[in-house]
Amino acid sequence: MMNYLYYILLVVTSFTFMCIPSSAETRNTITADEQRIYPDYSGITIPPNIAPLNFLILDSADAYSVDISSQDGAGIHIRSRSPRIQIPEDEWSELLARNKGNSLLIDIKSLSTSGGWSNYCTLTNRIAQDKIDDYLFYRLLNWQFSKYSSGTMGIYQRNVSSFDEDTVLRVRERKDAAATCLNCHTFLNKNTDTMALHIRNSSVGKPMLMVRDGAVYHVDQPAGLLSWHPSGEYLAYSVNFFAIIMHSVGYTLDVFDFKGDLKIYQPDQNITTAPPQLNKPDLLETWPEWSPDGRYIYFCRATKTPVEEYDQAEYNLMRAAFDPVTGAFKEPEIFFAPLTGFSIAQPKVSPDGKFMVFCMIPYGSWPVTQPKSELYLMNMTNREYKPLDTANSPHCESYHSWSSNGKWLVFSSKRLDGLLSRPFITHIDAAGKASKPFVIPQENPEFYKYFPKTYNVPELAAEPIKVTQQRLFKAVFNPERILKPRSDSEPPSKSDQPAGEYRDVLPHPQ
Amino acid sequence: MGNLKKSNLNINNAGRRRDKVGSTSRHGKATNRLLQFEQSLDNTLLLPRPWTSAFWGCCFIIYFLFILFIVNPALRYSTINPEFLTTYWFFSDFLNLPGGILEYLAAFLNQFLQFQWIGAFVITFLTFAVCACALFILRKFTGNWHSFAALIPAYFLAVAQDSYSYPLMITLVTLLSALAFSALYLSINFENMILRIITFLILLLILYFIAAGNIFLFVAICGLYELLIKRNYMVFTVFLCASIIIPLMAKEYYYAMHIHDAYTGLIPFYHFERYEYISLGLYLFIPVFLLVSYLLRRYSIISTLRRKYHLFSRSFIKPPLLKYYIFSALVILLFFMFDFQHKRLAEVTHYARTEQWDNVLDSADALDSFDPATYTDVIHALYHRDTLLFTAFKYPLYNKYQLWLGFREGIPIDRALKISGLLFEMGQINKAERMASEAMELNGYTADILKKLVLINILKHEFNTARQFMNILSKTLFNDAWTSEYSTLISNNKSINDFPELERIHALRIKTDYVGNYENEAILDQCLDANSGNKMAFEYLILHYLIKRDLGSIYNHLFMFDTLEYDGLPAHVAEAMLLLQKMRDGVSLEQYNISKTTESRFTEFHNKFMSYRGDLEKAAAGLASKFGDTYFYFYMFGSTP
Repeated sequence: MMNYLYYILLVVTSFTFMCIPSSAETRNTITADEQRIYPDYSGITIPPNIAPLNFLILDSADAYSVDISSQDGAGIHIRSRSPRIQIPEDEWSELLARNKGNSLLIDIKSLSTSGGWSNYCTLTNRIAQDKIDDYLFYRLLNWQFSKYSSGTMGIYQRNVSSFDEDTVLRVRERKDAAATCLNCHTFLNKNTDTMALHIRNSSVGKPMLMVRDGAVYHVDQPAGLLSWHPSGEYLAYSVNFFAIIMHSVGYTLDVFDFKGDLKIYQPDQNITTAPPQLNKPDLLETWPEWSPDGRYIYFCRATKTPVEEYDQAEYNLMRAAFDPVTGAFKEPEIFFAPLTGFSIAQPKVSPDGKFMVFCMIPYGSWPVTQPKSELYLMNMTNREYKPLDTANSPHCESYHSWSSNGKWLVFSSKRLDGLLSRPFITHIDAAGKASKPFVIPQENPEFYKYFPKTYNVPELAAEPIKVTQQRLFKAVFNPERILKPRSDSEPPSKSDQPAGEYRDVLPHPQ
Repeated sequence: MGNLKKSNLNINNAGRRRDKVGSTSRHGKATNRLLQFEQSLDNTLLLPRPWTSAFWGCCFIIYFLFILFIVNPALRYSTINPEFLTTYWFFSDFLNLPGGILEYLAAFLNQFLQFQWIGAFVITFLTFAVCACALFILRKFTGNWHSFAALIPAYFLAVAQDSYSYPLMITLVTLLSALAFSALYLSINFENMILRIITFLILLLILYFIAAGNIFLFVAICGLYELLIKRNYMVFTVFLCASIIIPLMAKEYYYAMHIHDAYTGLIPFYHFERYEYISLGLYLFIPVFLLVSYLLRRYSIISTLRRKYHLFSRSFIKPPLLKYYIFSALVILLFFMFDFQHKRLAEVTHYARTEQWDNVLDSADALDSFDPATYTDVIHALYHRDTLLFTAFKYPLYNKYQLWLGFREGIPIDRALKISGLLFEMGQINKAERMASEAMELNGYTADILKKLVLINILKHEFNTARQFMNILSKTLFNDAWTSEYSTLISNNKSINDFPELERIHALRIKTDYVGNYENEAILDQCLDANSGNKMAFEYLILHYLIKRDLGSIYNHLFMFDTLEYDGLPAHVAEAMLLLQKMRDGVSLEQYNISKTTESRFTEFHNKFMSYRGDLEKAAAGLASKFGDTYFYFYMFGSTP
């Protein structure tokens, strides 16, 4: 009997000691200015279906205690000796699902060597009502200039609700001099049933892969910077002759477009057209984008300049009316002409047609190489535009993609290290205001610190891709269906190059 | 001890039984005896006899010393400059194709090659493991010459050592895995046919996943075992079919790959000239040996030949001794076959990589011919030894040679990082960044490339980017000291001034934005415009003019030898100017101190050259020995002898 009493006493004493640290908390409070976690997940708005925001506490302590809570339901309590905080997926999903529209508090305490828990910081975030599309597609590649080798780049799909990442296509060949470049993946209406993807390979050339209703086609036609018409009957693309120009100081890489024209591919007829309204011989056209109702095509246009005046190429935003029945374009109008010293690229209209987000850069049409590239949002009703200040950073922002509900924008930003793009998400409210963006969470919170590849062309889609990687690979090298598009225009000249065809150019005359 | 004696006794009995098997002509009896023999092997021969152990020990000590001192694994490391990161994604990246796991393992083991002793140990140990597996397999089939034959793979691997770009580590680990799986199958050895098939299929699937096309060695050994020992044709057929179907299924349903990659992935049978025969020998030797030795025994060919022609009747060529004669001959042959020219080329690369400039030149002196990457290293070493403009034409050079500093000639895949290093030293930081990035795309995330990118971004004051590359570098092996040294600079605890080499380059860096892509001459001019004291850029510029035989431009730059405080004109420049003086009026060299020796050599060269009366071919041959190292010779004939 006495033994039992001893056990009870022992248990009660233990609990009493475990509850003591409250007195130490007040002693070691850290001010808000000192809060440091990686990645920065404070003051952000998150979708209710986002994966756990695992993070690293940037302060050394003996142990850490993290309490994640909201208004409804049980919170999540994590105790860890490691500063790497990994949140259980199931509890996280449940907490977010029950608290749409509420605040999310992340309370972090640290156990110092002197003993006692201290408040490290409390992060306050908001859980939005609006979901984000479950899948994010992107290209992973090295920070590169002109060479590409076999298997170093690939297109991947990430389930943003979890940490699952699958390969859509990566071409790795075990032979000398094999090289493959994959780029410009695009979906029809955020639906993966219809997709197009441009490829450059050392043995098969520069085909476009097209997925339609489960079938994969090898289209023998170079096509870059693709955009599907909402009906799926037209695919606008750009034919450019890009060249690398290099700087000796500052940022190294720059891109100049010698020749830019827009073409339209009609998959049903397997015909390519070059509408004269979109192809002026003395002008450069690029970055086609259809309006959600399919009645307009937006694109960027500049006057051709010699390469010596590469920094004088300033692109306006153009709009041309389109008749989906006849396939005819009207003469384009200048939809927006930026101030001198600015150029427009990558226009993307929100699915509801209310807003457009584009990149504004000092010159040229290639934002991803320019540190000053910033995102701007335009109200399509009154054409008023403003920089997405909350989303922008001193580094390059580019390659943005709307979610299918128009409430989220994913974009590439180089803010973490100044060189490698990472996918960031921002919430766009009804007034077009962006929330503070956050980087897509990874299972290992330190992932981005050690990951040497850059995220390129992030595209949101509602569902995973249904075609297997094996089928896409086969369609590149041993296709069952090859389409050789007929052209209604003159045969392509030797200078016709697909988008993304980097080529060193002659030196700048001194 | 008692067990060992018993074991030896059993071996001798087995040996006698083996002789009987060899002498009988009745196939059925022979098969039974083979099976008995096999059982006796199972019981007694798993441990080699002491003399066999001693023989093997000697062989592998010789092998280790050969790898350590003759081959030198560090040279292989510098030649292939292998990448390896300890991050999960780096590992998972390999799983995209069958064989990825062993590719990853080979990438890991390659890192140890940078240490001469450890590298030699790793190679020797893996080779020993290959031979041990081979011994086990051979013993399962035959008792004849197994301890000797099992060493033949080591011999093939030794012959391949003089190709420093041969994929040695992946060959070792895949070969080892195929043999180990074969040995495992033979040791399990179920009596039940179905169990044997299931075992085989499980092993085949695993082996395909980790070693890709190397399953065919496994299939060949297991198939021969079923065919020759077990005499089960059905199982053999199942094995063959499985080996054809599994790669096909993997290609159709699991991996995105070509059909030829599905069947031949990781088998190094391609693009290595004489080395492809070595690879073939390496992979085919065991199956062929098993088959041939079986046929010899099956049809008593050796016994018949012995009886008929009295082979091996003389004492000194008795079979046991014959093995050692052959072994000795092979070892001697190995040393004769070793291509020391390949080694010298690898040495040049290695010493240049580790900035041992004197050693670069010593190795280059012993070379018969250069490859393009060697020129880059030798010129670099000559500059660092202050002899570039004195002795450059002592080494092979030709007038089409490019310094490759610009990008208009293309990107030299084998030299992208070397060129990046040159541009970096000259202060062309952005161009160095581009070359290093191209090298990363072509060669992977090697420590050398990552270090270069860290330094480049430090000099560009892009500390966040430098930190990112430093983080990635911290995931490589054996670079902690370097990482911690430069981390202090990135975290602002130290300044560039604390690193003299960085400080020097920082002072040389280009400050004007020259937009575009330029040729060698323009790039070097830009360096001199930014800092006229850029001696490296100046010497490379003069060398460029010398190679292009542009004597006028050298003449226009003569004043810089004074500015840069040269002690008179370097020999090649003086030679060039004497030529110019001879060809053009108004060239005054009075203010430059040209040695009497140079002048008298020029006079002698000129007189002898004129004596050939325009026959350039004869003149080139006749003047090569005495004047081959002079610029006169290069200028007149367009290349060094």
